[in-house]
Amino acid sequence: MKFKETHPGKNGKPNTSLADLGSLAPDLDPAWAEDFILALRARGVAGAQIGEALAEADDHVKASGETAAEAFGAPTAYADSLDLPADPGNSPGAIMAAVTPVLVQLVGLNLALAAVPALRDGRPAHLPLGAIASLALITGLVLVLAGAFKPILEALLIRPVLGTVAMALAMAICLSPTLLWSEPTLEFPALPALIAGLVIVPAGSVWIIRTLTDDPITPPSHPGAAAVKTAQRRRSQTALALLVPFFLVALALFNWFFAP
Amino acid sequence: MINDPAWPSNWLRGVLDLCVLRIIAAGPTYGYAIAAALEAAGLGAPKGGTLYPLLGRFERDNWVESQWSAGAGGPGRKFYSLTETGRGELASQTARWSQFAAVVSTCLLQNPAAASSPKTAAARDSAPQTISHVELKAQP
Repeated sequence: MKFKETHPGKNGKPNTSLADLGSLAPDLDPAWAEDFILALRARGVAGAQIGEALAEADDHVKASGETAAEAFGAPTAYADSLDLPADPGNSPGAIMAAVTPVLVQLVGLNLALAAVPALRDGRPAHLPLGAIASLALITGLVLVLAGAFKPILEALLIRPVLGTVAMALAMAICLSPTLLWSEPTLEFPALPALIAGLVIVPAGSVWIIRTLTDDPITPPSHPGAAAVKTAQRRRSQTALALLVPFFLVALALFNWFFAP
Repeated sequence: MINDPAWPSNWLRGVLDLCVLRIIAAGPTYGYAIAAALEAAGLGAPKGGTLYPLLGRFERDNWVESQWSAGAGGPGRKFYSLTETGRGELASQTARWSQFAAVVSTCLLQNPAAASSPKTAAARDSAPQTISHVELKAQP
C-alpha cells in the first residue's frame, strides 16, 4: 500500500501518497495530508492516532467546505499543536532494536562473501580494512539515526533537497573506505567464516521476522480493513527478510565464479 | 483564531475553553458542530487549527471522552461528550467566569478613581455579590 498510490494534487500533478489516503482522508488535499503524516511520524506518534487525527481533519473540511490549509494552517504547525504523545515503539531504543538484526546480517554477509573466493583458492579469507571501516561507519550512522530519529526526519521534511543530499553524502562516506582500502588486513580461516556467515544471515532473517512490528495508519472506524492491511504488510516484510539469505547465495555464487 | 472580527481574539482565547465545554455539555457532538454552535452563539467560528488542539487537551485532561461513529464512504466522525470531571470543571469555571465578568464590569463602568481605591478593592474581594447587580452595557 505504501508508496504505491497516486492522487491528483491541487495543481493537477499527481502526488505520491505515503499511505492509503483514499480511504483515510478522501477530502484532504493529499500534499497537505502527506506533510501532516510525516510531521506526526517525526514526532513518533502511533499509526492509529495519526489515522484518527487525519479522519477528524477530513471530517472537518468535508463539513466546512474549507481546504485543509484554510482550516488548519500549515500541516507541521498543526501537527505540533495537537501535542499527541510519542509511541514507546518509536523510541530510539526500539528503532535500534529493529535495526540490530540488519547490522548483524551485514557482518554475516561480509564474512561469507570474503570466505567464498578464499575457499575456492584454498587460502585463508581476508577482510579488507576498508570493509571493516565501512561496517563501523554504517553502524555509527545507524546509531545516530536511531538516537536522533525525530530531528533528522524533521530536517528532511523542512529541507528535502538538502536532506537527501546529506543522506547520500553520508552513505558515500560510509562506503568509500571499501573502495579506497582494498588491501587485506584481517585474516581468518575460510570454512568457519563461510559457515558462520551462512548461519548468521538466515538467523538474522528469523530475528527480523520474529521482532517485526507494524504500525500502520488506520482509519478509526474500519479496524477490520486495517487488520487485513496489516497482515498484507507483514507478509511483504517477511518476504523481504527471507530474500536476504537468497541474496547471499546469489552473491556467493557470483564471487565463486568472478571474484579475483 | 476565531473568524468574527467583532470580538478581539485575545478576549475569545480566554473564554473559548469554557464555551466549548458548555456546548459539549448539551450532548455528544463533533468538531464542526461545535464550531457552528459557537458561531450561532455570536462568538464566531474557531478555525480547526484552534478547536481540535483544544479538544485534544480536554481529552487528555479527562474533561471529555470521545467515540467514533462509522462514516458512510468516509473515515467516520469523532463525537465528544463531557465526563464527570468535565462537568465539575464547567460548573466551577462558569461560577468563576461570572465573578470575573462582574469584576471587569465594575472596573469599567464605575468611577475609575473609586474602582482603584483600596476600600473598593477590599469590598470587591470580600463581597462579590455586591457587584452582581451591575448591568453590562458594553456592546461588541
